[in-house]
Amino acid sequence: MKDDRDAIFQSIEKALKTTEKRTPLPEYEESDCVALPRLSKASNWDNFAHNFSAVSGRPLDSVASLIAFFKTEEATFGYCDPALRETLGQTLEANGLTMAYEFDRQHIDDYHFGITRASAAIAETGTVMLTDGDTSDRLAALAPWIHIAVLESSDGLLRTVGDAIRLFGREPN
Amino acid sequence: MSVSSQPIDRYAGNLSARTRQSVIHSAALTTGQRVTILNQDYPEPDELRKLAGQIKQHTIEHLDSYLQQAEASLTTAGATVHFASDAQSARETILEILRKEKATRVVKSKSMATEEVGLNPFLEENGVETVETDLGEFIIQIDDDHPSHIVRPIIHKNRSEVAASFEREGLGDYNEDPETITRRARRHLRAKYLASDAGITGANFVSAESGRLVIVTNEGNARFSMAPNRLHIALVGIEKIIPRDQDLAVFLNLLGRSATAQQLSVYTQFINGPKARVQPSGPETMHVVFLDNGRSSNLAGPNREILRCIRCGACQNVCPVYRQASGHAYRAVYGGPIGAVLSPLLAGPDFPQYADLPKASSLCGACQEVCPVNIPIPDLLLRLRAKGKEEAPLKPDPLPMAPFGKLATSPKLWRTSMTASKAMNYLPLTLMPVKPLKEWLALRTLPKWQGGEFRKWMRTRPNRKESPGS
Repeated sequence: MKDDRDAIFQSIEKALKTTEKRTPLPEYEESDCVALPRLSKASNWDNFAHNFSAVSGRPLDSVASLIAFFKTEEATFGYCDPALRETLGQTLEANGLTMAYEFDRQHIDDYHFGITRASAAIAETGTVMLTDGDTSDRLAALAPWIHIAVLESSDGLLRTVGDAIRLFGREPN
Repeated sequence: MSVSSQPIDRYAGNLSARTRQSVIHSAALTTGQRVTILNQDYPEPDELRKLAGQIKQHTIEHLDSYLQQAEASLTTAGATVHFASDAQSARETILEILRKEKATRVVKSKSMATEEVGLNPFLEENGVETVETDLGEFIIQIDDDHPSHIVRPIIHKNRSEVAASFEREGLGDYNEDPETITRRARRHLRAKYLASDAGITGANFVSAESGRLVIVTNEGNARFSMAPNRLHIALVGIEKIIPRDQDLAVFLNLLGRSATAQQLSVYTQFINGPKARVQPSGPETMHVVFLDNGRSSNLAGPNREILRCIRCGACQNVCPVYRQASGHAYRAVYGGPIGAVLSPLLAGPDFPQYADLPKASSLCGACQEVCPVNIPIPDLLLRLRAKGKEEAPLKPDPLPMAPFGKLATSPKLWRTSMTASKAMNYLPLTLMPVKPLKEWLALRTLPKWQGGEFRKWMRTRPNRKESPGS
């Protein structure tokens, strides 16, 4: 409400008028808030894999290991981003998995897994980063009990949370 | 024998041993884990807390410009920005948005701001189905209860109570297994998500620079509250702003570790406007409601440091009083040390109702030591005690505090009573028909009364300096 907006700004301005000495924005190095012990391994992938495992994630570095994982989970049917159909979906189909390339929200309980693309991965925290632009369907990444995030290039492996924040650019979400 | 009649003491006194144990166990566990993870990851975690405190202090002392910047950034990003001076305005603004968008089914992720304004009951009264999707908040909702902790709303409940609630609500047979409980809740909530028209969230931070809202959860429920529907409404306290995107790294690293001893919360959403055009799932419309509700009026006061708070709950976990009393003892949305400061301040003219809360502290200082934004909570508690003395003087009990108060405030009466009470040395106290006195004397021997001896010594000691009061 406009009246509320005016009232709030007036109240803030009145309060700050009496604040003679205001705290400056401190200068600091981004490295001040990086958890260096979490980056002690040789590569971003090694650090990511270690930190991702620590939060119950499963770092997989080959299609074969993904197929083996699906077998242990008895997962046979899932959604796959159509952009990954040729590079991944068809291989999975050749190994006996049934893939859907359109996500049907009326049947979300039928999907054993959802495969979407990751925009980046953060080594420091073992985090996978998804964006609206790179994720074919947010619901497909959320609703199935298993989510597979595919990082197509090692260029997407970032070192720190700060590196990831810089990457947002104009991406809304 | 109780000499206090303060509400918080009475509540704590009546707390069941089982509830107290639940609170103590969970709070103590997280406190220990927090120390471990911070010291493992940073050589000087205190320096990081102080840095975050300075950034937030700077922000609140420049809130006029940062709030304006955040409003402009959000508008550019395609969100509609609203302002709500108080709880009523916030409730009505949100209802109006829902009505305009013809939304009658809402899913909500955990938000203390919505709790503060009493949003859920208001929406329900106005025909909007409102479902909490955070597991703890969902349990609070089905039990018609209130959160007793900022981060762990059901810290006061144990798993058998939760299992009984699920059985009562028809969510499955009695089962205490946490994984089973979680799966049942998820199954129930998935249908609610998909049928919803709107998602309501809070926000942990808002970057003034970009307008990005940051919402953290451990269950993914904030994203699930947005992905299936067309409308997102965020209710955000005006103090949640931080200057730049780059500052988010400082706060996210501290928030997860302070709140739940995690290096980062499991799901961290960065929301900067409605969904991208290419994205099939997600809100096409986004509204942000900035809430004042007493915050700006505290900006000029001596307690403005409290507006740095990022709602991690670390001060609650570490506080010996909170552990014994639990969150409900504070009778307000915010309990523990942060609540003992924030609740009386946000109460405005109702301050006297909460004037006992700042006294619920031993002033041990642990709350400041764990605070990720280094709020000097003990200092604020002392300032509020002084305010309470002025604005809400405590009425003493008739016995024994009322007569004691008279004696202690009159030097003449005090002197006389000190000497006259020597008669106690000759009275058969154990035979007196006063139950508390009898019980006390059954366990202890009352020392000989020596009232007045110190004053006598002061008067007659060598090298005594004359003073007007002697």
